[in-house]
Amino acid sequence: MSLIKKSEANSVSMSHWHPNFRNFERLPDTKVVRTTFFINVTAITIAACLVVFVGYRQVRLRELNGQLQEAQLMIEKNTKENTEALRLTKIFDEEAKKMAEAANFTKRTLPPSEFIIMLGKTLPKEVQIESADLRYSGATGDQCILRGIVAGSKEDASGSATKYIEVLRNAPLWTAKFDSVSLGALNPDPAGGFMRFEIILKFKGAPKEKKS
Amino acid sequence: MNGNDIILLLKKNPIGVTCGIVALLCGVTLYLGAEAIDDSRLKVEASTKQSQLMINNVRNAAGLSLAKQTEAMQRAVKQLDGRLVKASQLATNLQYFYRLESETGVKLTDLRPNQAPRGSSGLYIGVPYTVTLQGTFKQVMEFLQRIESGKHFSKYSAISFNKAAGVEVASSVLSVTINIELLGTP
Repeated sequence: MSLIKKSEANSVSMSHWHPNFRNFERLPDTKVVRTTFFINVTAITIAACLVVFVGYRQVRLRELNGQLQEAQLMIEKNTKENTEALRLTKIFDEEAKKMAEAANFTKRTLPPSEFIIMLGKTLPKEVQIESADLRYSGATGDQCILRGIVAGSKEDASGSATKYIEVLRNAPLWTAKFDSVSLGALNPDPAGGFMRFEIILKFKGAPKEKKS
Repeated sequence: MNGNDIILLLKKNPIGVTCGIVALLCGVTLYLGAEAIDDSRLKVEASTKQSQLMINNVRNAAGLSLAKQTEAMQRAVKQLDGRLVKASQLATNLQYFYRLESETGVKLTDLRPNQAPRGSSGLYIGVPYTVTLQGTFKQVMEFLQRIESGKHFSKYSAISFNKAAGVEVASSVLSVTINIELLGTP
């Protein structure tokens, strides 16, 4: 017993029974699947992916170059006709501009001859027009001022004037051309037995007067 | 690591080293041609757009008979030009009114050219005149209608109808003052 105990006590500090001379670097890989295999597979996969990607890009580039050539060919083919079309369009635009300007110049709110005919169609027997002023431009816009006389006593004449204004306000011929019809003045004539009136007609599209 | 070590490494891992070289070459290719596809795509898009535009231009021009329309428009403008007045040709322009006077029977009591507005941005200008005339209702109407549908393009600025002074009411002679512009060139 004492011998055994002695032996156990001495085993702690005992060195290996022989030195390890194995060179691990030169020893063959004894794993089931060798590490080199994994390294190679990974390397091949990465390289293959890159090759495929580069290949795809080259093919795509080739396609694009093909499309570019096709487009260039179409451009070359149509250049002459396109230049001619553009030249004609330019000429057409310039000429159209002239026509538009002339058309805009001659655009009339209401030609005076037409106005006179309209006036004649709606003029009552007791009303006489002494003057008509048509202004097609100006600060107050297009407007017409009619001045005239109404026959009859003050009461009758004012009634006739009012009736005449109503006619002008409601006649389709007039409403199509004028926005508003208003009585500017209605005064007895000092010389005779009639009333003098002033009617203001605003053409359609004329600026409205500002109310103060 | 010296040359022997490298050769040893190559011999030991030929596949890995080859793949590495291939990957390196691919990387260099990708780096050098990184923008080639984008550039090409942009060029293709621009060229396709231009090509399509040209095709549309050519097709529209053919479909709309642009050549014929342009020709018709040019003819119309030529006619229009023939109806313009020249502001500098005062006598010729006044002759237009005097001819109307003789044709309609009105009496021109005053005929004056006015100062043309300056700084007109358009191609044409309105050449302004003030015309004062007297005549019967029928004569005046004819005069106005002739102006409205006459040789020259006209635009009224203002027109005033009054009973002619110094004549009997029953005679219904009208006095008319017209501010008119004739379309023309300087």
